[in-house]
Amino acid sequence: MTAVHQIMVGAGPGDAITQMALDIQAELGRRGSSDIFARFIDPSMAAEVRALDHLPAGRPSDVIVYHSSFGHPEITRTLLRRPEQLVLVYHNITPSAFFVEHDPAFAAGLEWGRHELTLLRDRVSLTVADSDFNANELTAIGFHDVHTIPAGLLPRRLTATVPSSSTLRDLDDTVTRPFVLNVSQLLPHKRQHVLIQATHVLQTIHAIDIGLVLVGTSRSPVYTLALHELTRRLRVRHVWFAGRQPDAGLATIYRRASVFASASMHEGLGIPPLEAMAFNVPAVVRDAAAVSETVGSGALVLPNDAGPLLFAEAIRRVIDDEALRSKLITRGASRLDELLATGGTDGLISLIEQQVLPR
Amino acid sequence: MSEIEVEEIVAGLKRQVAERRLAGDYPIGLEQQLESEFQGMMRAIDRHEIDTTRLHHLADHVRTTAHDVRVAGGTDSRVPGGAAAHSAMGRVVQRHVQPVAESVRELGTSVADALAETRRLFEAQSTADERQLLDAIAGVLDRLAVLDHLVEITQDLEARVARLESEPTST
Repeated sequence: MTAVHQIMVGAGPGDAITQMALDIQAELGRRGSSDIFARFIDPSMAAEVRALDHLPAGRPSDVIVYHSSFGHPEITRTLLRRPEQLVLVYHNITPSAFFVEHDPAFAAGLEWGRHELTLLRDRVSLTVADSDFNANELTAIGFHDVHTIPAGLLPRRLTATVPSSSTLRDLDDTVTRPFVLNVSQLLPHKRQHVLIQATHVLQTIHAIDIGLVLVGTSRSPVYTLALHELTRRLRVRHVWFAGRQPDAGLATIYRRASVFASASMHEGLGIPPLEAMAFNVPAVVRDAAAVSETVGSGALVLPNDAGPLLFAEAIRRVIDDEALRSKLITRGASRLDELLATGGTDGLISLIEQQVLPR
Repeated sequence: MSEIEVEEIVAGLKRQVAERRLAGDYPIGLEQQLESEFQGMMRAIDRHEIDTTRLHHLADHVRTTAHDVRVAGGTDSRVPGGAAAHSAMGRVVQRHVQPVAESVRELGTSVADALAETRRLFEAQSTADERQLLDAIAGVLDRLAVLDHLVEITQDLEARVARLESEPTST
């Protein structure tokens, strides 16, 4: 029986790529042996993801699906030495420039990730990117026949989740409705500080009693501390740093949010605005990397140079203007249908079956 | 939404920002000021100027360690009757060591309290510095407002003088 295993650098709960890999595994598992292996594994994922050094011996007829988003030499070495056919799924590698100053080690990992792509270029049997933006990046460095498939994309996966009473209590304790929601790891290029500044502008200059909820793991201690300090110094009220939330908590927050906002400067796909659309929450996003392509006509896309003032105006407009709000909600739902019609996980698996697996 | 609709909305939002700027609701340079202050905060944190978290963790660690100081040792023994002997000796030793352990616990608590107080003072000083700075900035802004007013008065006077000078003089 042919084994199709997946490899990634790191796996953690709430991580979009891990979630995608789990969804792909659910489909692959029905067809044969399929496990997920990673170099770094959050202890809570120990049941779902195995350590890289437990990857069993493979045959040339087996397949490895590698999720590329960061680099690690051990992974590169493994991929170059293994006999299996290699399927590259490219989720984008954030430009290292965002991290060089405050987190050079992380920046080095990103640089290695880009270098690794050039090393794997002649080794891959099938290349898949989850957005055209990502596909273009691969083409620019010499990859051929790159397929765009948003595999593992399940933006509506949380809509049936039962609300969490403890999260509702936390929301009532910290945030006044309406509130702006951002879901993303706390990292410098995600620019959550612009949303804090916009909330400050709305509270002080517009005199609107609005809150802000930032859901996401702290991945940069310096940036996280700076966000807290900024909130304190600007005296922004009703800000909740909700950290990583389990599915029930996240679904509860999406349900209660008035508007989703993202000021991120770089996204290879951008799943949270799509999840917001699934909860009928209008989204305001910055035009950066693959964001416009992902949200299509389902969100209010601000120019790439938008600062806190424009974000504040846009957030206020979406909250106040009922017609715009309902238009965004309707278009958001249509956008999700369009994306899901592209095939997702099934599309990836049929491609693997057609182009890689032995007949 | 179509691209044209989005462009129209964004253009409207940009007009709104410009109008608020003109009206003085958004001070000129506000965004640049907010961004540069934030970048300054990032640099200060990177240089560990702001972070007192480590002090907090150290204080907690000292408090926990001191609280865990115990004088009772194990009484297990493989020698027959050894456990009873250990237990008896333990009671004797415990009698002498108990006050020392108590002192260590008290010392630990005092050290932890001192660290916590140091952190509180750092933070209070930081808040006070910030308040003084804000007061100083407010003072500067007041003076600038006075200067603005003086400029307006001067311009008004200059306009009047110009008007008077341009009027034909009656002889």
